Amino acid sequence: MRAFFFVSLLLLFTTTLPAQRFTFTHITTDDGIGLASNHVTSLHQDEKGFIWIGTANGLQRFDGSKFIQISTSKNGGDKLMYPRISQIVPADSGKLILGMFTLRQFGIFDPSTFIYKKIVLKPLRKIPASSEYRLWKDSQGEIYLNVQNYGILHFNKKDNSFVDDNLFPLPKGWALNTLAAFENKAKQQYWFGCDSGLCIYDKRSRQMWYSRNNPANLPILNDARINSNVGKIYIDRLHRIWLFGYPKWGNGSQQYRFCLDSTGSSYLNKDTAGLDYGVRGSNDYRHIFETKEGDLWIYGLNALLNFDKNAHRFDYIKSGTGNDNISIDYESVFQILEDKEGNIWLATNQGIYYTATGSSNSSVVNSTFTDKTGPTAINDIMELPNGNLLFASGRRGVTATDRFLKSINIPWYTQPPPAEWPQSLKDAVYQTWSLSIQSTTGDVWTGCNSGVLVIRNLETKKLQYLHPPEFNNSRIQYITEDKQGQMWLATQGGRLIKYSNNKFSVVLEIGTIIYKVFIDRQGWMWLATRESGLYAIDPSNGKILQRYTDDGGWNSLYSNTGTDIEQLKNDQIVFAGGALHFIDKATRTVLKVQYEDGLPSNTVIRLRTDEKGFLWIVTSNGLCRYNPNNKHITPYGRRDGVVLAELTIAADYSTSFGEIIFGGSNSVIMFNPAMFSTTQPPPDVTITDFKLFNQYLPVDSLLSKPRISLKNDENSLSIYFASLSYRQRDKLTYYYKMEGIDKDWVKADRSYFVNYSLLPPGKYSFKIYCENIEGMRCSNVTDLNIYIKPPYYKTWWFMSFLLFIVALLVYAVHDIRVNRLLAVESLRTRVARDLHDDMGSTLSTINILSSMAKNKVEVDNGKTTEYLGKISEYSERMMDAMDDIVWSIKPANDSMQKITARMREFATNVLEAKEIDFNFNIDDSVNDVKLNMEARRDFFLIFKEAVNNAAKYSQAKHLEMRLTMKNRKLLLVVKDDGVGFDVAEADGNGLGNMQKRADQLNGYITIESQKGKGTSVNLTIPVV
Amino acid sequence: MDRFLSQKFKFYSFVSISLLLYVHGYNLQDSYLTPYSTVQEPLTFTTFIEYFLANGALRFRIPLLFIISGYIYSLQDKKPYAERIKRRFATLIVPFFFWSAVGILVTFIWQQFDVTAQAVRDAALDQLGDNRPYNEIGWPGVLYRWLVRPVSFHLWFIRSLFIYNVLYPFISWFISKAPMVWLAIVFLFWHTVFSFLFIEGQGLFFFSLGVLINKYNYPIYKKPLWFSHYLSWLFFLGISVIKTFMAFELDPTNAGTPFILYALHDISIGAGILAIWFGADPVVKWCMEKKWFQWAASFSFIIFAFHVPLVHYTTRLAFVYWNHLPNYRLLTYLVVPIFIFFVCLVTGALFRKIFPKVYRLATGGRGF
Repeated sequence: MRAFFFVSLLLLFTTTLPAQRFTFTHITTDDGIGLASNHVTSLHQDEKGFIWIGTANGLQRFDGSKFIQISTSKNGGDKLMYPRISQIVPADSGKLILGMFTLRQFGIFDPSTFIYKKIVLKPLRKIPASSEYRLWKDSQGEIYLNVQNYGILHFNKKDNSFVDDNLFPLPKGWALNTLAAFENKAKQQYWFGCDSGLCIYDKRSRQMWYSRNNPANLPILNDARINSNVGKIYIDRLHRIWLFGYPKWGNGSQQYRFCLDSTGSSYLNKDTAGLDYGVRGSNDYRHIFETKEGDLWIYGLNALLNFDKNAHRFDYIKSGTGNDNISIDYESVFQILEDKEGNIWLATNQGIYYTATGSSNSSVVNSTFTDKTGPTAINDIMELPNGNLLFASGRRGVTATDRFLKSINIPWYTQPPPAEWPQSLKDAVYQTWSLSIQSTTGDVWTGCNSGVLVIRNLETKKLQYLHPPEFNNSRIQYITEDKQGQMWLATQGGRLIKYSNNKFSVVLEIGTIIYKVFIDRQGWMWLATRESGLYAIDPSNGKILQRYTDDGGWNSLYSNTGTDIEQLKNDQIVFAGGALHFIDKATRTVLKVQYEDGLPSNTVIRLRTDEKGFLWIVTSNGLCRYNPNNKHITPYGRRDGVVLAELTIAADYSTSFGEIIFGGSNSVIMFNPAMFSTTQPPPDVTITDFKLFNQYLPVDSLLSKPRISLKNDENSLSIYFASLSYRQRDKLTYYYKMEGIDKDWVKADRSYFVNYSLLPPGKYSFKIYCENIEGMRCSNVTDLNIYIKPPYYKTWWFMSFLLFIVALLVYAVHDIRVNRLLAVESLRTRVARDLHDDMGSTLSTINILSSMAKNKVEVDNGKTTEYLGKISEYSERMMDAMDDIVWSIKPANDSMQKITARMREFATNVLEAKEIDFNFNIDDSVNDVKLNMEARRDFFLIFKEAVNNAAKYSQAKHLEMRLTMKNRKLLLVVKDDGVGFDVAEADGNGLGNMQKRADQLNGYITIESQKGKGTSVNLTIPVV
Repeated sequence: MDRFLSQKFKFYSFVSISLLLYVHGYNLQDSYLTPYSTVQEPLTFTTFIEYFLANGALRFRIPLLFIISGYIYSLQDKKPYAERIKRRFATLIVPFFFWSAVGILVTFIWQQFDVTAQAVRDAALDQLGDNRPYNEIGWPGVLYRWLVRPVSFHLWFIRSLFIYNVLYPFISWFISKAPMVWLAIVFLFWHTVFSFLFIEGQGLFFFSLGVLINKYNYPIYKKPLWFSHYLSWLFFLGISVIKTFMAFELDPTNAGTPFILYALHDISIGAGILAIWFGADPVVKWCMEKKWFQWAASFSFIIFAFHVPLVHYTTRLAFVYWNHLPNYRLLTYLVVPIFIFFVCLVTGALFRKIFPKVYRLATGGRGF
């Protein structure tokens, strides 16, 4: 009885469960993924999704799996090695402005070219050595530098310098606080906090307003409390004005934290609830950050606060180094970044913290209870019709929380157990193991130790304490209700007991613990037992329909001990018995899924299907989800906000709100499975790095080209890739293919890179896409074109060009051969024709004349003598012709000297016989002329005809012959001083032959003659 | 013009137009090939064949058509200018608008069904780059496409031809006065793809060449003494092969690459026109004696006008159904143009039989 009242008292004592809404993942230098320093000062996410990190040891880029150190000394830029980076601000075209305040240095880094250039400070007066700096950027993209005890410098892009153009003239004597600059875009104003108060630069009037110059009469400028040191200004999307600073009033050491309405006239004290935690002076609120959803974060030295929209107050996220898995350790938070997916990143002096759940509304609830704050030793969970949750606790009986796991007071034990019960049974009332609600009566059944059953009616709140003998004093391990409204109870001793018609009856006795009783859609009852396998029984008669054990057979189980049973939408029974078992009861086939198949552990303990048919599994290694559609198993851990899953091994429940709860020991996790389902495809895969042999190449620069051209010996490369979704990236499956090498898509392992060694020259296209756990593919396949140039002599174009040249040569050889054959044929034809023309007819004539002479020899001597004379004349002519033919054929006569010698000889013979004086002049240049056989003969015969004509018909006394070269033409002139003739009336074969031969030589011949004035024959032929 | 020359013109017009199906039917990743285009995808038998035919060996066809057009048009110098232009309006511009509308109608119909609509999207044929369904684009957009930027993009040929015909007196005068100067200017137009309003420089050089050949009575009916069958075919096919390999293997970022490809393009076109024109007289005679060939050749204009956008859409549709087949790209490239060729023939025959008057209007009186 005392215990009853003690427990009741505990339940009356309600406390507010502290909300643990953010589960941070911690990245430090110890993680081995390349963080250069735990002192992380700044963060920036670029357009592609990379996170840029400023650390005490330089600039880095993070792709989700590794940090790349950025150092450069490229030509055309300055050196950027490993300076302490204080701030990163994005500039135009993806460039980054880096502030290295301790070094008083600034620079601009271009990731696409890897060129870093220092930015020069050009103040109008000296900057004090102790000045602090702060970079900021306005909505126009202009970048400014706040300089303590100086003022504001403006970044001049063309000059690459910070200049003092006095854009914001601060009141004389006022000193700017470096963190206190804010652009009020809506009002086109810039607000600045100074040591003497607040000043506002009005862009429209180009005036600086402050307490002594307040033409708009702004209340905030007239406020004496604010006319003091203003250290931080922020105007949120609700137009509330947030001001932090150290006032001159009071002792000046305590920071004021004001929130004013949009007019600046009213203090919104309710909105600052929770801001004043701890001892003032031990912390410093330096920055305010507002997420895309409007969540406010305040951070600084020993300060990290988040506004809880549900509680309407700020939550302080305490720094600590506890072993509760959910602590966050920091002294200073330097920057908060919200990435494109809404994840929150913290830059702290203890490394980087990251939480995938940027919004408190979508968090996984991880709760650890104590006996003061909620249920402990949790054995079962059940939801009441009003949405509240009941927990069967091994120590505290039935306890209750609201649907948000906030402990509530429900005086469950409204009446004590029967007085006649022994103390052991009375104690057993609070040693609860199982809960179930009887739908027909609304009674909640609680199974307890020692076979005690407590039944409470929810309407009357009356309790029945039962201790039926059928339970044989054994713990009631599990209670459930079948479709007929009958209650089924399983005991630790192995009895399956049915409650029907107001009486208990033992249906089956197994003799070992029955952990779970599950009634499937077809009405079969499945029992998960300890060391006795899985039973399927007919609930109507208790007959065993099927039994599965670890018997080594074809449908053997992994283990005979099982703790949970579920049914998937496709009517498969799922059994948690060490490994995960999928049982087709129609065929009795058992499919085991084990660690090697992707299961986090071979100790599967709890199972629960959600509304979409996904199976949620708690193993000794945490939570995971099985997607029956694509058979993917997806683990969930800290990055997803799931921290305590491995402890929640005793109970599971699906609430009417669609949430799944796993509980065990003193821990509970609760989540909405829909939160882990995405309706959006994952982001496209990004090529994060490209490594040639062992050297990283600047990937931004490479990707800006249509393809990467490599030399033929640059053929071993590694391609790094990732979908820059920090929330999903570990749950994405990547498929890649190098077109030109891989025929099919290859599923990537978890290393996020792929190596290709000794690629032969050619054109390749590396393609990659990813798929999320829902089987949704990213929108686009990312590709990277790579061309390994072959040496030119191995290119197809060069080889085809060679073939082309060979074909041309073949043609040329063929052409030469044909021409040679034609030339021989032509020569033979010519000789034959000449012999026929010159010899044949003459020999015929000689033959006729000799016959005639023979006939007349005895009759007419005169005629005979005449005939013989003609024969002699013809034979002499024939000899001449023969001499000409032989002369023209003979190769020894090919030279021009031989030709001219023969010409001279002929002229001498003919003209001396006629006693004609002559001159034959030959230029030396003529000797170089080459004439082929036919041309030589034609040329000579033209000359011969001309000389013959002169000798025979001109009656000349002198003959002038000249052979010269002019303009690559051979000129022959034969000129006499004879009687001349009328060229127009001239008739005869000789002249015609001369003309024909000149044509054959592609030349021309002119004959100039007048009666009494001699004759001139001029031949011009082109020569090579 | 003697009878055989006339037959040759008909034959080569028909052959050039039929080969257009293979020039337009390629399915390389680069959907618009210029003479100097390089290929970014790997060299395979399929990609080689497609580039070799579409952007190499068959590139002679449009120049040849322009030469034939210039030659024939200059034969009628004695007719009054106004009368000739009026006739050309009926034979070129009216068909332009008719077939531009047909192209839009075909596209619209294909856009009404999921599978065919996807084929239209994949073909990405819209000349303004906006491949949304026409009912999203609206009437002003459709009207602009009909009049100025037809989806049947190849109709630029007859539009340009009309412009050349309008400019003919000027062209003719220049050719008679300073033929070499004029040819040099229009050669540059061709190479620089000069275009001003509707005056497109691509065909002017070859049209002018046709005019010049006629005006100077160049004996195109007999093989010149200097002509070598071997050399012309060697240059035509050999240079086309080399150019195709180079398109795959040369570095597109190298400034010299386009010039090399353009030079090879010019050589192969010149050699191709000579080889085709002087090298196939027996084939011309044989074909033109066959009635079936003459019948098919009478539908040259229908094949020309109707094959775009059909060949493009059908290619993409074939991809949807055949992409599981081995070498489906090559199969599509080889089969679809032939299929569309017969579709055009059948359509033309039915059209001429059922609506002879409309057919006459749509073809400018060709094919009767």
